[in-house]
Amino acid sequence: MRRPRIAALAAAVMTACILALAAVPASAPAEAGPGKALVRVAHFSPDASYVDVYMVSLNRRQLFPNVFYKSVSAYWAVAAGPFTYEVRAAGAAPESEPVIQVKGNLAAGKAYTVAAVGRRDRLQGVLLRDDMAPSAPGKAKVRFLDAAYDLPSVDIAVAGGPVLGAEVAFPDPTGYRQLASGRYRVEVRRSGAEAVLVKGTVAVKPGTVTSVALVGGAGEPRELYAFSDAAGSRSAPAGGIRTGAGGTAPSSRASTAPVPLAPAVAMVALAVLIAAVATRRRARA
Amino acid sequence: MVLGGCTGAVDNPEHPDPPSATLPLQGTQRPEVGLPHGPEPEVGSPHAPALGGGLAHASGPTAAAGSAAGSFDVPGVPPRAPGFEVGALPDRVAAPGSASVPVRLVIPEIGVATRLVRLGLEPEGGMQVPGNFGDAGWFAGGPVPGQVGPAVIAGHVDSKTGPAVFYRLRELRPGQAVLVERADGARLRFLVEQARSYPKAGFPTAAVFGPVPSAALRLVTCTGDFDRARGSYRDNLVVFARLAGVAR
Repeated sequence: MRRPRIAALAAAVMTACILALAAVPASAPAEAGPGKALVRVAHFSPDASYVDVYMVSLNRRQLFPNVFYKSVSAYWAVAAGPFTYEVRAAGAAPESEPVIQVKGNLAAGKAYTVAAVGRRDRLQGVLLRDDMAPSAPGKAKVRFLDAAYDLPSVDIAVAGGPVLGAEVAFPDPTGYRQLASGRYRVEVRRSGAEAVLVKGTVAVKPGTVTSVALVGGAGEPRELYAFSDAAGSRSAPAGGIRTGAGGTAPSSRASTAPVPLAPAVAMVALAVLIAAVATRRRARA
Repeated sequence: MVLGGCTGAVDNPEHPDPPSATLPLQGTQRPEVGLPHGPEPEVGSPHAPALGGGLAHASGPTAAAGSAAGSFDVPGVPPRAPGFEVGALPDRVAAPGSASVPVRLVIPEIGVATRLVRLGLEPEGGMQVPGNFGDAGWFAGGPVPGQVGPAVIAGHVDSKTGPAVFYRLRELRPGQAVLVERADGARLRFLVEQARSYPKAGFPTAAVFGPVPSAALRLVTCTGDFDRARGSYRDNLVVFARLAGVAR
């Protein structure tokens, strides 16, 4: 009993893979379709200047050679399901041991960032779930990623304003915070202390979703590096849109199909019957 | 009916259309494209252990693949990785230059060629619609076509007496082109991804107006049964498209 079921399952999985393979155009960024997830990759390791990134999902096996520090790709769509992300030094053989390996599962309709962080001799991968749900009208969403491997845990705050992330430690992200649109002077402080370790400006427009990485170290400047996740409308209208006055709508009200069809069929049948009777009478006559 | 400005109470007048198609962020784009191939990374150490776990199906450990250990300091020769698509990281498709308003819409497949008016919100919060049944309108509370985000264009399916500008929208199929011309002369080419109809009572506001990571377009009209008592169609038809190219 077990084996056929497994075989059937395997066949189903294979079919699904083949279908997925056939459905994906050569370059497919844009939005996630049914059964698809969006992924992108980011490189925030300051002293691993060039790396090769391997991304294997159910429907694609991709190699991006020579990805460099502070690269953030656009999103692209892959089949939802298991994936493996691997990083090797630029030019290293694909059979060699990866310096980073992340395995995970991509949910359909969701978006993810996989980032390489850390010193070159202690690289690690971070899988982030990117939240593209709309913010409140007129607001923007911002989150931070602590990619500064050599700093203690930090508080990230608007200068003279609210704390956006408290006790954030490498290599963790904060959750998304909603902010009014505008330009913010942001300070990164040693957790619970006044000393400002890094300063930067983050500008956000209403309806946008932004990530900001705290990067640098190993001789690269320490900075807040902002990149866009997504953008939406500044405000969205409520409900449906009234784009029709009915001039081409069928004059009979509402759902037409079955009801008028039955009398029509009956009338045709009656006509045929009458014709048949008439013909027979004529023949007899 | 058609107002010049964005009338939404929640619109922030200090932040009208953003000044450029790229975001005010530090570069998300690669600083250079097509890296020069640096010096050959040191070859030697025939370092070919077992396959790294996740890539277990890498079509066998062919010795043909590069055996270099690689380098973090210089760009390498892309390794031979049979079965892999090899290429640069995908870049975002977005229209460069100013984010000027869209002025014209052309959909060759269904014979649409119309000017675009500007739409805002009505006092009750619904979206304005074009006052003229021959016009389509762009929702100015959202991104300009070509910017990252969902640009929304609405048009009537019919007037009280006959077909209107989006009467044939229902015929659009995935892969067909939708062209938008902006006031700055940019001509944007979108490709239809899908068309779906939704009851107005359950309109998918987030899917139509919410954040997306790329430059997108939504065309909206009415469909379904006409409710004569309310003088309104029960459903909306939404065509989803993505930016495929920009010409000047």
